Amino acid sequence: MNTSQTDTTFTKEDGAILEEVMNIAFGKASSELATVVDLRILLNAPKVEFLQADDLLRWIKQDTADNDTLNMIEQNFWGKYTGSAFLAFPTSASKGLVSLFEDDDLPPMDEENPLLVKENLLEIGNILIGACVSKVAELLDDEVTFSPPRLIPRMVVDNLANEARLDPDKVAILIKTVFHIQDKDIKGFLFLVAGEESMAWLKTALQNFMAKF
Amino acid sequence: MILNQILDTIDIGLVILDKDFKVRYWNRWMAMHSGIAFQEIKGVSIFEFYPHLKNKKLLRNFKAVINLGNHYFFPQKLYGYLFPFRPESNFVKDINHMQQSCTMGPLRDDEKVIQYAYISVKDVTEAYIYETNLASALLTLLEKYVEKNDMPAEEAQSILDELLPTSGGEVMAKHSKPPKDKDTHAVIGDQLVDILSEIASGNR
Repeated sequence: MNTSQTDTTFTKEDGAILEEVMNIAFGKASSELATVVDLRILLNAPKVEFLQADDLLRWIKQDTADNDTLNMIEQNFWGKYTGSAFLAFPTSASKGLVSLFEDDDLPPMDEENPLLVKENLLEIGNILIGACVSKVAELLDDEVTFSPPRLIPRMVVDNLANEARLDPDKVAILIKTVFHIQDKDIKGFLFLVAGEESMAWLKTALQNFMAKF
Repeated sequence: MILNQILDTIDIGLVILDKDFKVRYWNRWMAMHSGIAFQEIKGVSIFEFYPHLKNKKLLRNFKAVINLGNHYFFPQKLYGYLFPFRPESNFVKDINHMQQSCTMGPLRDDEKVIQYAYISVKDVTEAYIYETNLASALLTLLEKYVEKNDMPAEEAQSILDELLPTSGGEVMAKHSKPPKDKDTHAVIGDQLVDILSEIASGNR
């Protein structure tokens, strides 16, 4: 594919196709997650936005404003589709998330052992992010690799813009979904942010996807 | 052929497992450190040689790799090691096993269907020893400062919060209930010693 000659401007139709691709991918991810973690994880129909980095943080903030502090898991992925995923959930939901794997053969979760708590949150984030991103990549005929996830604990929502180091001039594709772990009644947000470098490929990949139907 | 040379000469362990956990590839690094030749382990379940790997966490994440295409990371700080190998250096004291940072990821066939999972094993023993020594030295130093009233306990705590691999709040929560019959300096001294022993015993 010669991406240098591809028009990278995203139209409304491209956005609609991307939303549809995400919808299918997240549906697959949701059903396959059940086989891995033995939980029903619902992923809402995703919303796609094309924003500048500055607006992006404002958008995240607007969605998470009901919470004073968030735990955020950040994980980068790269392939032809390259970007960062952010899983954000209220700090108060951490306890519920940590308890998801309490049946492990490991000693019972010591809530005061920050390393174990952190590891469990990272594992959940890794599984959720990995499932969603891999399924999107699979649908678009790509393969992605992941960096280890990082936990940004107790991020004050009001400070989001100050703490993130994003290039304000860069345009990003933002995909947002709400995840809901039914049995535990835990809700949070998943944001996928892809930079300009993925746009040319993504536009062509979406056209190729539609050409199959 | 060149690829085989690379895989056998890189300073990293590489294992490839099929969906039934049978070993399909075991590079020279793994053979050298485990003492198990590729021919011996080839086609055999990894659990026959390393039964401790058969735990819920690994099985769950193996499934996530095979079914979802995920990657999973085994950080040294939590696991210490996956494969119980001797440290490479003959001069390492107090550490019985090579400290490892491992990654598990999917491998696809020509039709892009995931057929295998790889596990890469990186020896991080030296970095671990260095980090532990550095943390020990820092804690000893902070303890002295606090004891001599050269530094407020809160400042020492804040340095620890910044540098140790947990968030500040978490360290505080763990160590912030001083018995009323001790003064603050004695308490922070105790806390530092506790943290130091945890690091020394490899719990951090």
